[in-house]
Amino acid sequence: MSALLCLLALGLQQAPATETAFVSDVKVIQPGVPFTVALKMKMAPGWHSYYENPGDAGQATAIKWKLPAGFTAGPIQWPVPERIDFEGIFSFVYENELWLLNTITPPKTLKPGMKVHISAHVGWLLCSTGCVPQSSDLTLDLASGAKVQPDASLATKFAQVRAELPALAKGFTISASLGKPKAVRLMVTGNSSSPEGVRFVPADADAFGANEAKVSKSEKGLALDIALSQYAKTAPTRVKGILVLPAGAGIKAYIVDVPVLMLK
Amino acid sequence: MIAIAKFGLVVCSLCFALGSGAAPRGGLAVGAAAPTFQSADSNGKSVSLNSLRGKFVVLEWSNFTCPYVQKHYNSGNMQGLQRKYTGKGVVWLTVFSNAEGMPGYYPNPQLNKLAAQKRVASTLIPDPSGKLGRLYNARNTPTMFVINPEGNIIYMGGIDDKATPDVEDIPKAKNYVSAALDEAMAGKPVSVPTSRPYGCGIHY
Repeated sequence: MSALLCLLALGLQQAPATETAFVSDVKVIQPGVPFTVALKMKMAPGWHSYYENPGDAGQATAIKWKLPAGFTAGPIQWPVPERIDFEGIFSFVYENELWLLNTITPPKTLKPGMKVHISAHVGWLLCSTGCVPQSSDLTLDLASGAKVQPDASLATKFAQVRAELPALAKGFTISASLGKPKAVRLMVTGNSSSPEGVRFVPADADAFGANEAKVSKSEKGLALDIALSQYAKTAPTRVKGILVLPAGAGIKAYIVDVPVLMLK
Repeated sequence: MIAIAKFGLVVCSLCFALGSGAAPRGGLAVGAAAPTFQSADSNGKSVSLNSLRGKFVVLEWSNFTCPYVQKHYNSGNMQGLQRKYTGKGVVWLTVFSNAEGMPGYYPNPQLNKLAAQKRVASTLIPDPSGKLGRLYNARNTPTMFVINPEGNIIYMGGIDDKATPDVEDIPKAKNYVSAALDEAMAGKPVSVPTSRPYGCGIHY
């Protein structure tokens, strides 16, 4: 009791629970054929969790997989986060319901007719005006078979989540070079977007923090200048993140993962 | 943008007032002069960076409600560092920049009481106006600066290399603040002069 009072005296914020679960796009997995496991998160209104690059503060959601022998998990496929501004402190966050997709590849040597037990320790930081670390141990039981069996009941939702994920650039190219002192310039060549509504979400917190790109029209397309973080040790050799372009009434997101060319 | 412009003016007006003429161009940087300031501690005593020339100064941004700060206080790690280095003549200032009404803001008597309970061994600087936090562009807690006796920044960034709220990570972590102080006191260059600070956003 005194320990509890002590915690309250410290001002530990009471955080609402976050609902989490694993769901898969398949019921039966086929040896050697990748499938998807989604981490579903439902956060209480007014609270958020973080993107791979949390920005000025916060921490990315992390999944520590415990998979059967021979299984491998790919990285989290992050949707476009929202960039929130709290009096000049910027963070890349998700609110409400979030699906984080992960590609799991079973071994080719997996025998059909087996039970497949997938589990992971998931940790995230939940913040509003205060922050609370939360975690859960999640499991998912699937079966192996000669042929993959999709879960039809989730097909629409998975398709919708995938459609919103950053896609590979198509019909235009993205390149990067060291720009002005302490900045990187992304060139989007062969795209006729106007600069309005174009943004870049850097995945690398060390290099860019939550810095936003200054977008301008160039001869060949768009130029995005992103200042390095004041804490960046060295100029990055690669730029990763999400390019967001306006598309009709909405947006379309593209994967950025390019080397930084050294001019001179 | 207005806030940035304002804080730029504060830096410059201070520099002109002090006649140093050495405004840190291009913002905060390792090797540049630390922005000078005059503030008051939690007992109302004046603290000015200029009067601390000749001493190493540590600036620590804090918020006792933040899990990343609690990691270093509940384990005693931060107080241990404060005790060790103030014992060696270092001036350690712990700054609280969260605005009144935000988690982590306490009126001075309560702040003093909390700090006494936690056996904090540093000088507490309440900064609810955010003036000092903005001057140093502090964005989360804990964020650390180490200033050398000449008044230059020799380290800025996180406290260590384990960006988690987990106490178990402290023994495995490389503490950048103690490394910077130990190296600089031994007359050596600071091997890691900056890192990304991790923690809770400061609510200005």
